[in-house]
Amino acid sequence: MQRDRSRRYLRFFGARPEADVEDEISFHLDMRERELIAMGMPPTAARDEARRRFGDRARLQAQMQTLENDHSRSASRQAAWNTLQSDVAFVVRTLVRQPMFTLSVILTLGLSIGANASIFSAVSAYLLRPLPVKNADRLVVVAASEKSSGLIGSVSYAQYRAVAGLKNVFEDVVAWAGWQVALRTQREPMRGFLLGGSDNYLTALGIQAALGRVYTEQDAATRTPVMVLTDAFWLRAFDRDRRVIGRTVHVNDVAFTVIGVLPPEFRGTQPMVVPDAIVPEEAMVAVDSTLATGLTSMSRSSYRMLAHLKPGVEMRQARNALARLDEDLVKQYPEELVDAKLIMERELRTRPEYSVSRLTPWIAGVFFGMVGLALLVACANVTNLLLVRATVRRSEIAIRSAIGATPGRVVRLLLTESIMLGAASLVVAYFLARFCIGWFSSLPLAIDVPVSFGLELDWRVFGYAAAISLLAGVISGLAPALMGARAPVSDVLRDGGRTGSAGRGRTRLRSTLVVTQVAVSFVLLVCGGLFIRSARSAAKLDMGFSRDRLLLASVDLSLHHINETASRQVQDRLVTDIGVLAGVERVALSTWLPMAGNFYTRSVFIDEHPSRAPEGMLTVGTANVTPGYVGTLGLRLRSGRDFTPQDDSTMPRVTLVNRAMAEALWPGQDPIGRRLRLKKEGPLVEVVGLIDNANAILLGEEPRPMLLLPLRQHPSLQTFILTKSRAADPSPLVPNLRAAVKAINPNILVYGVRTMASHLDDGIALFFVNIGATMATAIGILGLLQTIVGLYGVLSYSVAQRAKEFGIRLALGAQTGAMIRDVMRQSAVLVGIGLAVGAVLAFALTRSMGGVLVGVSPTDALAYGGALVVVGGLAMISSYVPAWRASRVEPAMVVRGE
Amino acid sequence: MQTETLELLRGTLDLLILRALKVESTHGYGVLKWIERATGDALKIEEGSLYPALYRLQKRGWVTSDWGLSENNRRARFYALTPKGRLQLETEVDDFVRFARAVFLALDVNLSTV
Repeated sequence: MQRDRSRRYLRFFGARPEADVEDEISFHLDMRERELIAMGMPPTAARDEARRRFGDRARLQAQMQTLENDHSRSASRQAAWNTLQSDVAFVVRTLVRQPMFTLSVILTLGLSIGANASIFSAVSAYLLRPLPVKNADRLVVVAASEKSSGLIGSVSYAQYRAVAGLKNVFEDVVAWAGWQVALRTQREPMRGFLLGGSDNYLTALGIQAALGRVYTEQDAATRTPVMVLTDAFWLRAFDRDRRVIGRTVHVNDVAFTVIGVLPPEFRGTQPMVVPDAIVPEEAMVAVDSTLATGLTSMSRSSYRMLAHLKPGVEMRQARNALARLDEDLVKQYPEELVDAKLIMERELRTRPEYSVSRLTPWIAGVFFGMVGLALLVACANVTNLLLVRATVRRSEIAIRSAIGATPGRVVRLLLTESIMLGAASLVVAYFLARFCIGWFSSLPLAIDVPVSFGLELDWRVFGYAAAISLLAGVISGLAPALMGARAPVSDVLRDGGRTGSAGRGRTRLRSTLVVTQVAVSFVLLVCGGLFIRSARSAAKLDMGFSRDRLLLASVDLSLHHINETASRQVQDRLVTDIGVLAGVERVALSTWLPMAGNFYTRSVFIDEHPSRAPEGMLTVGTANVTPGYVGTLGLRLRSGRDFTPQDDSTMPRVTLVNRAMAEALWPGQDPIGRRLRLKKEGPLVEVVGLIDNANAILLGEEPRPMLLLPLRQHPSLQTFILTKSRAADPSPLVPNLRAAVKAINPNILVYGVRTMASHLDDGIALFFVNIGATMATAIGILGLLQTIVGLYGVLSYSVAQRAKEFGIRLALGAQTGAMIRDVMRQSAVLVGIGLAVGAVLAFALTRSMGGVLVGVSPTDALAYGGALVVVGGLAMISSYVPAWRASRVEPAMVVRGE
Repeated sequence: MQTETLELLRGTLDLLILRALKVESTHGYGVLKWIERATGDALKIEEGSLYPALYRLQKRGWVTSDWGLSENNRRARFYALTPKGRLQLETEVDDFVRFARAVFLALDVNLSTV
């Protein structure tokens, strides 16, 4: 008992080592002195003798002090650790005893944290994770911007060479181009995507081969056909066989030797695309003979470029040097570079792709905002649950306080509980995030090249999820913990903690939480609604061409070494043979498809100098097509005529232009009969038809100038086949179409078969709009569900608290309807305030979404109205159950106090 | 008062402290009194050096301490042997006996007569 008291003494005032050491020594001296006196020694002599026997007091005291300080520090650490252990053990026991409470908290938090982690993993992959290359922090992208349109595009190999020469600001400059080819191992031939890199591509990026070696400048200089496989292709084509080195892979029938395999983390530098292999671009000359001139041409631009800033060089310096170089190049090559200006940006700011990176922060911001709000709703819910529980536990806490637990101690216990709940919900979050990431990565994209989203549940994502779960635990637990600690001990103990009515502060907090939840879920639903409306209107938007009854396929005759004359016959037969198939209305070939994410441009020259093209020059989009393309694709011919089979190489050159181009070159005039040149000194080409504008890359874009050329006058070996069916669904045509192609030449590979609808919906064009709608809706529903649960909980609790009042009123003859109205009114006030706050918030927040939405205004009335009806309606429905319960209170029971 | 006292062998003080605390938990002065009694006042100790030794033993986890009230109602620090300290005492006693045997053997002293 005595010992216990002194322990309390220590706890309250803390150990004071100096005083303790002093006390101990003087106690010793006193004891000795007394003993000596008892033995008969005079008091003064006894004191001296005691000191003499003790020895050098100052030295010993210093020594003891040091030891004691050490000890008390480690002892207090030990004590803190022990407290934590016992807190954790206690919390685990209580949580296990209330599985329903625990489970609902864990699920509530887990779902929201999982949603956050999923969004974060996308952001991490696109915006935060540096490329796995050497000195990634100094990487910049150099690209060419079209002066006339502002489009950001690729550079020519000669431009790359020139930029690589800027040795005072750059080092290790690399360039590459993508190649769509046929790859043949021992197995079936397959479509492949190669990355043709500059001679230093792999070495300058510091890539080490996982197996074998990477190619070097030497290999490139000698144009040796060697290839380094990516890990994905090594698995797909060789099942990760380590004997792959030295094997042969045919690229369009040219034999390449495998010299190495890349590490799995390096997927090349083409955004979102994983190539099958990386080869020296010089070696591709053997595959495409026109490349020999392409490598030296200043105008043929199909290369992307990455450079390292030299250490210590500022972006501004590099930009200036690049601008000066650009000026010089334009002076030297006025014709080739007439519309291409070199620009640069830090690599991390060009995600996921330089041309669209302007929008990336907005999109990320919108989704982060949405999941953040969903997390807020979840936290509010958990706070509510904890508050209800804190009320139930008031007697326990009061007893703890009464037996000497300090308020800090109680807060710590309650906070430990909520943090542990947060940590447990991390498990739920982990599985949800894994599912979401798996789902997102598995989405097939109906485009020609293999696309990878590169999403991973890496340490960044995990760290983020852990951090927010901790934060969520603290946020949702803080208010209940503080209130719990403040519970007035005497009150609670007096009435046994059973019937305590809710404190005013607590009720206000709970009402605030409901208002917040209603407001936030209103905002979330407005966002979801806007995305859905955006997706709907995007699908219905008039793109200027038809999306129905069209079947798309691709053939690349260059894969099979079919020469130009033979290819003309093959292409003629493709049109005639497919055209006579049952169910086919019409067929056309084209070198380009709208909304596939790319755009082939060329410069046109005229003798006039209109204001939009003062130098008599304009960069326009171009496609080489067969007669009937306009009708097959559903473009609208305004005036003039379509191409005919007679428009071939023997006849005068002709072209169709769209209205954007006509207005730029011949404003206010009839373009039919006008002439232009495709090269400055080239032959004249006559405009024979005018077509309406159509979307080319993005939905709702500004019309881009565009011209069509007859395939016969401008041959190309790689074409799309567009087949218009008579029936609404063109897919049944596929087997017959394949058979028809096979009949012409059994070796021709038909690939990329899909309907136009799927090309648009699952392709680049609408993919992100649709994904956005799906995700936004999911997040909105998550928030809404939690709000309903929250509202229900608060009202149920309030009804339970007021049961006595209701009972008395009923006993006094009040109508049950009045009870229901009373509770519903209480709910309506909260929901009403919540909706009003939500509307203001939504209005403020969604204004930033303008750039992300297609064909719908951020203040879309339907999205707001829909959210209002859904949130308001469901909130009122969910409050009806507690209201009904209030009207069924058994007066006798309540009044008796049970 | 002793006129002839023996210098303490190095490490022996720790051994004696542990042994003293095996009998009962007590304060520093109590430990000292036990040693004096048990050795028949034959050892010379600078009494103060007892305390650094106690603190060291506590740091090693062989001894714990807590403040309590002494027999004459004064605040005093009480020391107690931990289970770890109990084991340590056993090994130290063993070691000391083996050491003493070896020394006695060398000095040609018959242990049974000592």
